[in-house]
Amino acid sequence: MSGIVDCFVQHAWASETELYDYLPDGWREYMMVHISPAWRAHLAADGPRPTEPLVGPLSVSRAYRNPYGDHLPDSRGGTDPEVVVERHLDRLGIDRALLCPSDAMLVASIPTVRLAVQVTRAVNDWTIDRWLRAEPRLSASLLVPTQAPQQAAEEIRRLGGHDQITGVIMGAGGLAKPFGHPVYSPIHEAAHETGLPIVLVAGGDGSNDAGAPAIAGGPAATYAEHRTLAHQSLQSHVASLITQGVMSRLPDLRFLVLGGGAAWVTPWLWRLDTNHRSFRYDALWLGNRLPSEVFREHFMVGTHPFGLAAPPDRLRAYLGLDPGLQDVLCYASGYPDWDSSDPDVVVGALPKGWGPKVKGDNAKHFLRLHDRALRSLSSTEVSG
Amino acid sequence: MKRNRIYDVDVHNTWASAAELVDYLPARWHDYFQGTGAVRSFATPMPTYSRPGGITDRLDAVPGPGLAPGSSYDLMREQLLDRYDIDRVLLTFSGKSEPGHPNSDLAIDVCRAANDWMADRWLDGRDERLYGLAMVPTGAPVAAAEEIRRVAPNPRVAGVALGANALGRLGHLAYEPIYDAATEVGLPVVCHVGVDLSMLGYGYAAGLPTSRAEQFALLDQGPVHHIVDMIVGGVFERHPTLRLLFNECGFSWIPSVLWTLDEHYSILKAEKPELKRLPSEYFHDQVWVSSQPFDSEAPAGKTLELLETFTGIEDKICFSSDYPHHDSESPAQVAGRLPREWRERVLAGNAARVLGWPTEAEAGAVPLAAERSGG
Repeated sequence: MSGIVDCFVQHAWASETELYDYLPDGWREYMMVHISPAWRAHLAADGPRPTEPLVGPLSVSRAYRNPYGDHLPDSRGGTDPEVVVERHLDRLGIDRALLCPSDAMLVASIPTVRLAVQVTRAVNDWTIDRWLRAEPRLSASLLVPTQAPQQAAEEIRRLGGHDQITGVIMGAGGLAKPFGHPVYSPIHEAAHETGLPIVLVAGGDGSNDAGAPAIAGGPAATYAEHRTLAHQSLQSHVASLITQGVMSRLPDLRFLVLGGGAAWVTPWLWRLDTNHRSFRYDALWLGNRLPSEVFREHFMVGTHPFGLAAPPDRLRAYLGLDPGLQDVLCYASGYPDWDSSDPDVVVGALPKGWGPKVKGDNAKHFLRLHDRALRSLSSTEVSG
Repeated sequence: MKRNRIYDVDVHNTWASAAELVDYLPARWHDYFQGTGAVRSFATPMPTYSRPGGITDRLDAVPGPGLAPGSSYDLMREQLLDRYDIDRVLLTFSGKSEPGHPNSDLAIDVCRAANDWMADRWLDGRDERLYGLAMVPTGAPVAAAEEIRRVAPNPRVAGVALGANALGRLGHLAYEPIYDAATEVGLPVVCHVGVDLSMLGYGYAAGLPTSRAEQFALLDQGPVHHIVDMIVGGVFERHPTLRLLFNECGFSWIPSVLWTLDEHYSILKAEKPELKRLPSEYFHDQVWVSSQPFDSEAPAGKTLELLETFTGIEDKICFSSDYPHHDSESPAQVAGRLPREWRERVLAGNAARVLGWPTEAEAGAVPLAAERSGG
């Protein structure tokens, strides 16, 4: 085994109709009512496939796209398990990859709350059925409707015990509040109870209807700008979770932070610590601990996107400013994003000696792979 | 004996009460602001985060019962100008949201009044060390441009305050008349943290923070976006002589954000074909930031190590005391953290470039305060 764990692979459906079969009676009909007559006829009677693209309740529009393409050219956008396995897992010798549904991140922007609840259930069942069954090296995080915290908690309890489920995604703030807000307590508690880390992913907050801006100061003009500042919503959620004392109440709760890269972390924690010293009366439950200490104990940060136009020696010095970062970072390819990074590229840019931890050891420890999903891994080895 | 010149680019002055400003407003506003007896605040609503002591300022900077810190020249002179022997300060008003008032007629007139008040009360020659900003109604850019042209002849007006994110991010084309006018009169634009706070919900990514510490740790988000957006929006490409000073937004974000932005340059060129240079080149040539706040919880020496990873950053940071805020700093505190060869630039040289003030070389040796007394 290579020891490589990839904390961030994004899977997607080729068409949202893949999900319709996973919806309960009534909701499948709801979807059929809300697509064009030509597509309805096609899906119901096996008629000719319409030439126009299907536009349904789950068709998301993204304001920010890479003009040269969002995905690696030969990736099929992460819609095919075989492609992910062959061109990513096998090619790089990855032991374990964590899936995060890319388009489904926008579920917080579905304003019909009951539909959002059903869709997250369907996405999770589809993920298990189409992806996790197909490949034991894959595990996935559960998608939950953050706009309906109680129902989100139910979903965590419904599927949290599955061997290949290794996290709970809080992608977009469905209630336009940062994630330490007590309105989200049912989600925190269910994750704590099932022992699953919560996965914070940048990108979801970019949806139009979720109510919270993805970055401060107004909507970005360009994709380049939007992506450069993708870490801002993550910062807000992290600050909120720490200063609101969520981990003081739920001491075993852990978080995996994805999609904002790693470069924002160190200087921003200095800033958070400094302000906590000045205004600690709002967070007395932290006692003598600084926010950065809570962060190191409870958070992991994925490396994607890793692209930084810095001279290698400068970048290495920068990342090495806080030696504690080597215990916090975990390799995250972001596959099939256009700028997905191979493990050797990431490790090559890091300070000397950080490689093994970042490539896999940190993630294995954090995800408790040894006592959870590793069972299915070892059974593969025996059979293989 | 020679010492370094010291320019302080962020000193907050204010009116003792809104009543001071009413005299400077056209008569048609007098009833509006005083109709109920007490004078209304001009400020727009913003979320309130409790602060120790009830104010965001140094408790020793309160001039007297009920008086706002920064409203007394005498106290400012004692606590800042004389105590630290500062050569020039830039008066930047104090957390004013008026320029972004949703009633733009009101915003226009309040800005004019504030500029007249500044000229009368602070820039009247009582102290040769005082320079100030002009406040403009950012939500009414054409009127703002007129105001810039009106106040620019006063040699003590040293910059144009972009006081509020009234129309969204500051790289938006809507603000173009302001940048045109500032370029034409040769004044820098000066922005300050808090620029986004009068627009509920846009000040922070992902929603309103739930505590003061959280809010302060996220305060740089809007400013960082504005700087990025002014670069991306082509403001500096179209106005190659325009200078931006962004106060109190910190500087530790500079390496990671600019490296990431530069990494997206080929994409950016497809989205904004007018951009001819790397984002970091515009930053190096046309953007400056203030020295405060400093993240004092960083392990000793680490902030300097961070700065040294980004080539040329020593030319970008301008000393600011941020007087009278609770975390204000002295020149010695700031200089003490920096390598000796950076000090002249951070204490005065960089401010000289962005504000058009004389450099050490141009000004010659500065006499000590004792030699200057009586002058």
